[in-house]
Amino acid sequence: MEATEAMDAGTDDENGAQAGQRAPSMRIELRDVEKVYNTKMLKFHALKGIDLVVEGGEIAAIVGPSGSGKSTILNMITGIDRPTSGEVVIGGRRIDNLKEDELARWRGRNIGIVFQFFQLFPTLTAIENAMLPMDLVHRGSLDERRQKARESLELVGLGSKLESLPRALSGGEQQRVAIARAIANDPPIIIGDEPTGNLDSVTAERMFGLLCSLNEAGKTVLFVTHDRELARKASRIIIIRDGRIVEC
Amino acid sequence: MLRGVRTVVSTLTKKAWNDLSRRKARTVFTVLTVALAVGSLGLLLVSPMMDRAMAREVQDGRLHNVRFMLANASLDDGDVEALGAIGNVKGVEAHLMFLTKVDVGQRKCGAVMIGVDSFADQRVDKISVLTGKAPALLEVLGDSSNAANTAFSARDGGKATLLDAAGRNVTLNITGTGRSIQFSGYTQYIGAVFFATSETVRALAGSATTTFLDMDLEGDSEGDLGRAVADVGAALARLEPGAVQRATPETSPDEEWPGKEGFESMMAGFSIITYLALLTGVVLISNTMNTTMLEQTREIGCLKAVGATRGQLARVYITMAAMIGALGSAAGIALGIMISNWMCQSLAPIFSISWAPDVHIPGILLSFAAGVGISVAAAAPALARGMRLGTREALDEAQSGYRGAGRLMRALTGSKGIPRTVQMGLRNAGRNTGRSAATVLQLALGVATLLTIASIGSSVQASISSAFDDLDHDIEVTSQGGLGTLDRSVGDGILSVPGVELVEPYSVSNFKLKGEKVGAYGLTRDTRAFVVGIAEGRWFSDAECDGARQVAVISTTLSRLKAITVGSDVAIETPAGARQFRVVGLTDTIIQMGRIVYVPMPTMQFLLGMGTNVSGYAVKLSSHDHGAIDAVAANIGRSLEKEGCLTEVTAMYILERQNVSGFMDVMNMIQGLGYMIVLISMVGLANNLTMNVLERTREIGIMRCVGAGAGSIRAVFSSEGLILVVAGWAIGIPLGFVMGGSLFFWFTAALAVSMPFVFPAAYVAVALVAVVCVGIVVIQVPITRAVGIPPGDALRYQ
Repeated sequence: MEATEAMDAGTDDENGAQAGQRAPSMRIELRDVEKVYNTKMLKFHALKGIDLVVEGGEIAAIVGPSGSGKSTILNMITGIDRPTSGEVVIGGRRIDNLKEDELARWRGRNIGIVFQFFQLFPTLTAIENAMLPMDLVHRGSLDERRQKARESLELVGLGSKLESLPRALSGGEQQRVAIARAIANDPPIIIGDEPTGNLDSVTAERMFGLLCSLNEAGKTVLFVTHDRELARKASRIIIIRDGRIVEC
Repeated sequence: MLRGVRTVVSTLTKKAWNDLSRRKARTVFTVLTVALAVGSLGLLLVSPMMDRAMAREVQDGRLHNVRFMLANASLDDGDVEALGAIGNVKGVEAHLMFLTKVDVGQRKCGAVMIGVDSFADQRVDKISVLTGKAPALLEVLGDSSNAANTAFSARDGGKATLLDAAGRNVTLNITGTGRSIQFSGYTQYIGAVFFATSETVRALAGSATTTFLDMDLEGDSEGDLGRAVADVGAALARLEPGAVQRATPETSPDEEWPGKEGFESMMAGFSIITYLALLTGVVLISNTMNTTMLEQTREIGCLKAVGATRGQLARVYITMAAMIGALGSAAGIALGIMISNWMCQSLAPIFSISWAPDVHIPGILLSFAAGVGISVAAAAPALARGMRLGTREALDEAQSGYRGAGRLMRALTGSKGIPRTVQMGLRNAGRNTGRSAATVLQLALGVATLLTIASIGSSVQASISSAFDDLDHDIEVTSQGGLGTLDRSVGDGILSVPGVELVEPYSVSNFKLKGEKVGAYGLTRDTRAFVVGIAEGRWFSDAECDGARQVAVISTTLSRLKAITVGSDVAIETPAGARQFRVVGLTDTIIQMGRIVYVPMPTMQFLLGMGTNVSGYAVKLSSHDHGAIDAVAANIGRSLEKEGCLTEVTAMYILERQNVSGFMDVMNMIQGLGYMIVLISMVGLANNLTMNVLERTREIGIMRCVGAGAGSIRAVFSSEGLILVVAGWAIGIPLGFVMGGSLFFWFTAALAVSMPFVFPAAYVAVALVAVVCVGIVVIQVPITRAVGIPPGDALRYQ
């Protein structure tokens, strides 16, 4: 089954659960992508003619100095930002021209994002944070979602902290909740924007281990990092400088 | 060093301005809330502005200090001059009044003609010619309020067909429009008012006129007024021995004007609403400034980190608060001027005065100072907190207070039936408890104000109905305008009309009891048309009635007010002069706010010089159906007209409706002000939600990242907004009950009258629907903003 057909086949049934399987791999393509940020004060050329392909099942690190465009590339892939020109094709489907709500739904099903500062919702418990992506796409029944979220949290070692609020968790625990949330809908792609940037080295190591295990399970993992040591552990390093990919 | 200090200060002041201009949306919103709160102060200026306008009109109008109301008087120029020569009398004017009817289409409606000797030379109670020219013989001026308050609408160049004393139609040209503080008010309760020369009035009325002998005095102290009444009364007895006084002479000092008491009561009601609006506004400003300052905590930390002293910090943020206050106050003053002028423009016709745009300078200055002062004072606690924090704590301060939802909140909102997005919204309402509490308080004040006004309205309506219950008859028949008398044959004529069950004579006048103007009724011994509930003592005996004894039954209100007990003797001023009355009983009626005195019918007839005539007849019908009442009333009028008797036939249910409606007109105006308070509270709600959206912009971005569509984001913020609305409504109910009850108790205690308090339970539901509907509309603005932010911009938001 073509990836696009598989994705389109993943429509909600009467109970809102997603039918059918996702594509086993999801190829990421950026085709001559440019991004220019226009503010009243200045015009900033963040990405200049980016051509990038990340095959499904890869684990790749994007490195580069501050302001080089690393996070901007991730934003293009996740659809958080739209390119000024060029195309973003994921799993054979062009996403840069989707409407906002369509894009949000697509993102919820196909991308799991782990942020540097965790970005948990403070009024939701750990299990509720982990359930949220499933709630938004109406995946399965409430009990099924709760069960899946529990499993995700147990997978990341937080089985005993299901009802804890974020403020009661350490930084590492919050990041683990964020990972559990990112994998809630079993997305084929995991994106990390400095996922270990706010953690101590031991916890960072543990986090990266989790990402690797997700990759071993078949997911495409793409992350941005300043940490060269961490980057070397990826199967592929993409170096970006001044908005251009210099090494791929 | 001085230059260095100046540089720092100007940099910091620039920072304050730049911060405001950088966050335009927030600044505009904050300034708007200050403007609304300051604008509401315009309501407080209505009373002094109306007083000022009234004082100007009173001075121009040369209002009387003393008025004698005479029948059968024919004062000539010489008489008037003689009266004018009495010491302390500055001016005398004899106005003739003739009660008649005017044609309006096919119908005849009540009307009154006021005659003056010369329009060019008026000395007291001036009638102003607003448009056209003063009327000559057999011409009239129409009153400027005729079209607004009566069915008669013809103006300059038109015609008025009036009934003369013989019942003939007389058509007169309308030469212009006039107005008088004294007489224009008659349009509200008699009918269309026409001003003419005395000759014209005599031509139509013959001897059926009432003469208002109006006098302006040099001094207006109580002694001056009393002496003038005595001197003029004595002079009248010499000059016009045949003249009969229809009521006790009216006295009023210079600062009094018609309707002043009602105006002051109305203004007292407005003032209460204004203070509520001000309180809501203060809460709104405080909440807004507090939030604005709390958001600056991290910046305060940055400034401390680069070396700013506490004094410099205070200057920056107080300058910011003062700028917001100044901008808001400037806009608010413009709003306040519009509001106060609009209110005065609406009120002016009710009191028969003209209104020109006016500005109350002291009020404006005070409003500006209040707006700036409140803004600075409201910012101070948050600023002080920010400065108290250590530099590191301030730098680390999370902007949106990540306190999370407490156990209770999670338990309440964790139900399986509630969608996750709604759960998030409900819990978010408890995140910033201070801000949410302030918003709920504002909403509660708004709802409470509406309920207070509704409950006062319901209570007074119920009291009016209760008062009318004491008038246990369906129709009243009086001479036209109620100032003449009717003889026995009229009563016989009424009784012959089918449907009439009982006809009872009564007489009515105004007395003065220990300085208090009271309504006086002369009733029969065995009255069945009036319910006189005796609370203490007894009703009149046969002997007292037959002997026209000077005995009285007074209301419990008067008894309390004037410390009069059963069995005591009191001096009462009557048209026949001061008389001693023995109080034999107390009645708990609330007719005329409990300012009522009953005397035996023969006593009243004697005091008013009526002989065997009466003021009117109270009629009870066999059917109380409104249609039947209307039919019988029309028959009575026609029947009496056929016999050449011009009467006023009034259906009591219509009179009750008019009383209620007249009161409700005022209440509706006050209700409009109440809605203004609701508006202010809704601005607070929109403000709250806007601040929440701004603070949680990054969270909105994250929600988009995990798959939330526009609908989900709407659900979060809508539920947050609506829970605040419902909480405000719920708290507003008991608050409204307490406020309404307290105000009503104060109001009735001030009047020394006992009236039941009615809390309209149905209005609670109305208030809920109103605030929810308006709330839904108001929160769309911040929600639309939340939904419209692109995810990338939201994540990058600082």
